[in-house]
Amino acid sequence: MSRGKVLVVDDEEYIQHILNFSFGAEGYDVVTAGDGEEGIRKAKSEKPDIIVLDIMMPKMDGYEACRRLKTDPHTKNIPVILLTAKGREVDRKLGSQAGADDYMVKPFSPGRLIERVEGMMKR
Amino acid sequence: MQITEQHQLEQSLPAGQARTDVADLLDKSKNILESLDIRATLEQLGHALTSFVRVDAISLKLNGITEELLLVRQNDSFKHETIFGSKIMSAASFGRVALEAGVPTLIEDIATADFTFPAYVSREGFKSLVAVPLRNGKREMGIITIYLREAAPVSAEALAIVSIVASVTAAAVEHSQMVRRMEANYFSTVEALAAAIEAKDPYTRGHSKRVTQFAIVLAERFGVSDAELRTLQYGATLHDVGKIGIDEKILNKPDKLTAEEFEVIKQHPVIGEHIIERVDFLQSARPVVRSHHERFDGTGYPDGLRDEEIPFLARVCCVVDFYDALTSDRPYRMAFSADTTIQYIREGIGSIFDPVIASEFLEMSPALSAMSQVAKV
Repeated sequence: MSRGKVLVVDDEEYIQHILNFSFGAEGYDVVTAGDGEEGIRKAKSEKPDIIVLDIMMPKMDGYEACRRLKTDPHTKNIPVILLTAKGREVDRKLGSQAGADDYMVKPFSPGRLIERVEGMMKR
Repeated sequence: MQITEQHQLEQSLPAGQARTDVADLLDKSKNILESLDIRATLEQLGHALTSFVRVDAISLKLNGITEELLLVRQNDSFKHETIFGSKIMSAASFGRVALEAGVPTLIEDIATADFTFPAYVSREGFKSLVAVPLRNGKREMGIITIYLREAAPVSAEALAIVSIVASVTAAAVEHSQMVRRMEANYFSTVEALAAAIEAKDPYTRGHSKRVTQFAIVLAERFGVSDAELRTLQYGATLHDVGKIGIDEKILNKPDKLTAEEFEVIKQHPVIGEHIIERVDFLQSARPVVRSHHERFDGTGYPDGLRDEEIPFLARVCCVVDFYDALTSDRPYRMAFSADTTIQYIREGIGSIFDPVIASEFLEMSPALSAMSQVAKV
């Protein structure tokens, strides 16, 4: 019995691998996308319970993808956590303005990320 | 506006037994001052205030930081939550009003108060709050908010005491922010250094970043502390910094190295340690940099350490460094597939790698090889 479905949007394979492993070990199903455009497509087709979104990606960056996800009625209620190497306060503010629900910096601790995800899914 | 009772500190200091309690509280405040961890600081504060005021939850919102840290009491401890994009200090919010008033501000009845409250307030059923401004001298730092689930009376003395402790907390928070900011600045410089080495060598670009992330994931499975994870982050990011002292012609040689050239390469852990030796906050990372090429059977370098003589974090770094190195292209060979590399790791258990750490890494392998698209050998 799955605990939920996580959509991981990141152009770097090793991050997809790690999240596939970390979430999988906790009983979540993981689907992945490699850029913002694919992320939005999969958000609509896979209907995940939560989206983990990188910022620096080709074709469409995470801020733009987040804005679109949060304004589209099909996806606006899916919580979005930005997971990114960009960790300055100005980056966090941009994330908040784009409508993200949470923000974590890479390198991240899987335990902490899963804690945040579980907290968000309870609500 | 339903703000009740704004108190001036001097008029409300208690006498007698209460004065002893305050002395005791100030003593506990030393713990607050010594803590560099803001979450721990807030937790200490929550505990310290409990004998003076009912604390069902306590939150900290700093000026200029997007996140609010919320601790909600659960029996004897606190459950923590981060609220991203908190608005409790925006214009006309209760936080801003308290900060401008400069004194602890009690809202006795949230339901009838004329402010917008964050979603967690109704979710948790908070009925009243005390918003405590944090100031260091003239600087407005932020607010601490104490939430109560019952509209319990909050005495003048309690508010006075909360003020005293708030100023201690403001100092602690400022200190901890300064230390963290300094570390973050130094570490950005150090990451830039790691990136500089990789910029000269396209084959290793991103290597330190990946090794650091894998290392953290692996180490966490052993229940290491936050401090150790931070040490590992620094050490793994810098594990190859010593290569800056190695001749590029050797580093990027497309053929097999001569014995002499290999001896030169073997210097990089020691050179790396020497580089970070001068930097105060990187001292704990030295063992990772120095010992990441030691082998479990004692045949590694530079010191020939064996099994548990090799620092734990260095043993972790060793496995993930090996995995990333083999699954990347190099001047002298193409990348191996994840499956092949995993096989090499399996074969290296006990000789190169710590068996327990390597086995734990191999647990991750189905997820790695299932998704790998690296060219096969």
